[in-house]
Amino acid sequence: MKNHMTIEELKQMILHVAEEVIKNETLLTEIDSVIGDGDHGKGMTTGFKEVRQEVSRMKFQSTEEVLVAVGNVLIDTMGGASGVLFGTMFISGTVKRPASLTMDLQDFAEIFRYSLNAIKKRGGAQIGDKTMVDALEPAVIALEKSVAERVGFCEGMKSAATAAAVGVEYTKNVKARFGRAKYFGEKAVGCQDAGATSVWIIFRAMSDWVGEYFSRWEKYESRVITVTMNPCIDKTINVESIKRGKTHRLKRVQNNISGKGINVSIALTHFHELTLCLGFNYSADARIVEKALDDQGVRHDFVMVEGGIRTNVKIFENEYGVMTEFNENGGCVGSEEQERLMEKIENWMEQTNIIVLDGSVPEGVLPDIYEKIIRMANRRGVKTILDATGHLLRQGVNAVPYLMKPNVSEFCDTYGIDPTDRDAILRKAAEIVETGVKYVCISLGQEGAYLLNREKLLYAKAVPVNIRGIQGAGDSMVAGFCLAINRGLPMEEMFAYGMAAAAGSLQYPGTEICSKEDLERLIPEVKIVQL
Amino acid sequence: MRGFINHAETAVEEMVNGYLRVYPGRFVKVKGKNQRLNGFIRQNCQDKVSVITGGGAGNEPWSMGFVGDGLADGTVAGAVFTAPPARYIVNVTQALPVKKGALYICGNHAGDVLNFELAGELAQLENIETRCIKVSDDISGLMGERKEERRGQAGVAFVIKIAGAASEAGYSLAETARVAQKANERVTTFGVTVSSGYIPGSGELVHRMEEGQVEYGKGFNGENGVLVEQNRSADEIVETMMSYLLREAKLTSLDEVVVMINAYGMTSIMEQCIISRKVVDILSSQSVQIHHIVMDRLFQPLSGGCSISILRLDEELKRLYDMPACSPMIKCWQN
Repeated sequence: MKNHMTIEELKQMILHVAEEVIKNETLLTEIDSVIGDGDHGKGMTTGFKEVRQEVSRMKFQSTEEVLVAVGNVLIDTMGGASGVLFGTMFISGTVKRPASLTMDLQDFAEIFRYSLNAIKKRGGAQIGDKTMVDALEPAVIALEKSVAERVGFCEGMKSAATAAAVGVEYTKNVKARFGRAKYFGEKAVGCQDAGATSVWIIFRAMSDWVGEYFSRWEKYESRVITVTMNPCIDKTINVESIKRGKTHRLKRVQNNISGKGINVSIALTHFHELTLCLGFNYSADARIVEKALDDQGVRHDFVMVEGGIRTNVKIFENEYGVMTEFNENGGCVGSEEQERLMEKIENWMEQTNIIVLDGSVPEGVLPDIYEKIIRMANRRGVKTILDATGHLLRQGVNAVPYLMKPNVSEFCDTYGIDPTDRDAILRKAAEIVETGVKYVCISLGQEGAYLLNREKLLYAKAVPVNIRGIQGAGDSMVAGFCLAINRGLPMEEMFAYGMAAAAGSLQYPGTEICSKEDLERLIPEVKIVQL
Repeated sequence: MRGFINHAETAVEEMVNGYLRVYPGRFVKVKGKNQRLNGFIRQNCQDKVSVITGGGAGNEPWSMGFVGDGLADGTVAGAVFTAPPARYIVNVTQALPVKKGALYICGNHAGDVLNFELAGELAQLENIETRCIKVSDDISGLMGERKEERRGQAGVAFVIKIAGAASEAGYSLAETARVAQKANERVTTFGVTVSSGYIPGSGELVHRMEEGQVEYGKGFNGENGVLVEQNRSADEIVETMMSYLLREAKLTSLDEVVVMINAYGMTSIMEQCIISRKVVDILSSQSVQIHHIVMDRLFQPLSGGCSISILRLDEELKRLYDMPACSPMIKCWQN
């Protein structure tokens, strides 16, 4: 169940709020003409037209920035009491909060509670004074109640809108104590307050948008499908250094379920992005893989294959910061199982935005499998990310994936290029982009990464972190890309998400993956240059 | 009512453009984001406490006509009947010399007060000291209500006159604010409306009055007054107004006063003189010592009617009041 909003979603919601306020100008004017001076509708429309213009063209680094921008525009352009008070509604609760990439119901409750207090302090109004407070306070209380009762995001927003509507009705029954309406005394009873009506329109618009968007979103059972053909157990051993022929006392051994696609899904789950793992699992060890994924809240739908899962032994030498790997070959997978996997992929494809094809394939699978899947995805308009090597990569690229992300040695091995010849690498990458592949990313390990499309070539240095384990970094990078693509972010931000996610994983030993907090913290650290 | 209208949205800007082009070299426009008009200031302002006023348009010459020698140094342009945004106020403030601080003078209406107070806080962040006088001279609306809850009306003219004189005499911000506040406490205004009101620049009806209806204390935006009568003579109307006003002003035989007879936009000069004649008669019969009488149009809603204001002087206010002041629209204090 989706329970938070991203920056882009918040922005879209605000634009919907602006449209709704503008649409209701006549209603607000009519209400205000009875007991006010009739300028409320015009004031709100003026302000929210500016909001629509400014917010749609601004770029935001955090959800807080979106709301602060709305408040600033209202304060700067509306005038009247409403300009200050509705500006306060968006600014006061937001300015002192730390920047975050998402907002949940509790964030909304906290923000509007703080803003409500600021509005009451600034305007001096309380419940029963026939002002916007009469709608805002019940809405805030409803949000807080929803948080306490752990109801879903949409339901919480809906109850806030309902409470605001009740508040508007309530303003009909009371006399005004502020603004021009106070001069109408008893004659104002029976008329609703325009400010309260605007609060209700805002909350209703937020609730409607969230309700519609989230239900559409929920239908996307998974926004990213990852395919893991060759899962494994990673046994990571940390030693000071390997002394050939000697016995080593192991300080630390870590077992992780791994497989490049699985890693991407785990990272995406950390980032609160809905994802589904497809691929092959081995009947003898099936529960090991499934339990590990269940424990982490990662959904999966594997095709079962006879036999046991392979184990990869990875020895990390602390003294040199170097990893030596011993990777087992997977068991053979027959054509029947392969067909079943293709069928699953095809079925799930209806409900996803991106398919990640990551890593090697077991014996029995032909190197054109990624190519087939990419062609299938392209026909349905589903984006594909390809991270592989050799024939898998070369043939996959023939089908024109959306993004390919090999590391530099995989890329050079595949195309027979000297890994030290940067010009040759970039020439080849540019050639691939010309064939229709939207993005080519080549990661250079500690030297950073390139990302290019037809228009430009970007380079980013690796974000300096304390490196404790390098597995999973490339997969985290792919997860970062997926997140940015699903958020509709431009190329530079997509690159930053990928680089930050990779850096976030490097600081953990074993295959442990970047967390959401790591990602949010590291994104601003990524320095991108256009070459 | 049709009147002279191009576009309601641009009426305020067109008005200011017209005024400034007729009197070139006297004022400087202040523009904000997207080149929007935020207000204007006097050309070549001296280094003194800056006096800044502003509010919703539609009752000119208030507030834009009050920018002038010995008056306000800047005005902030709100839309018609709408308080200007705090950002506009800050922008006008920053266009003026503010080393010695700025005094804000606004009407005591919720929108004006909220925006001027917020502007004061924003100016503080820029290290500009400000004070704000919320003019509350109008005794109508809520009779007997506490002074600080009353709204501002034509008496704002006296408060600006006093503040402008004080700042030009070199008073500090605190001292300028003190005398302005004293003027606010000593000024009372009462108005009467005798015909429907309209929004200038759009021609829309604000409030409808019956033929022959006389409503005392009616707000410019149609807020209910305190008394409605039918078909009264000019003298009867003035007698009723003066009885309310003298009761609230609480004059003693020692008080010296300034009286302002302010006609609204749809009341003629002939009518204004008839009203003034009766006002002076009543004050003389009560042995009120009149220091100066202003018969002018300083605060004009677009309706028929007038307001009468009384400012009780003391020695300090009298000295400041007597200093010369003028703007292209306000000649009553020229030497």
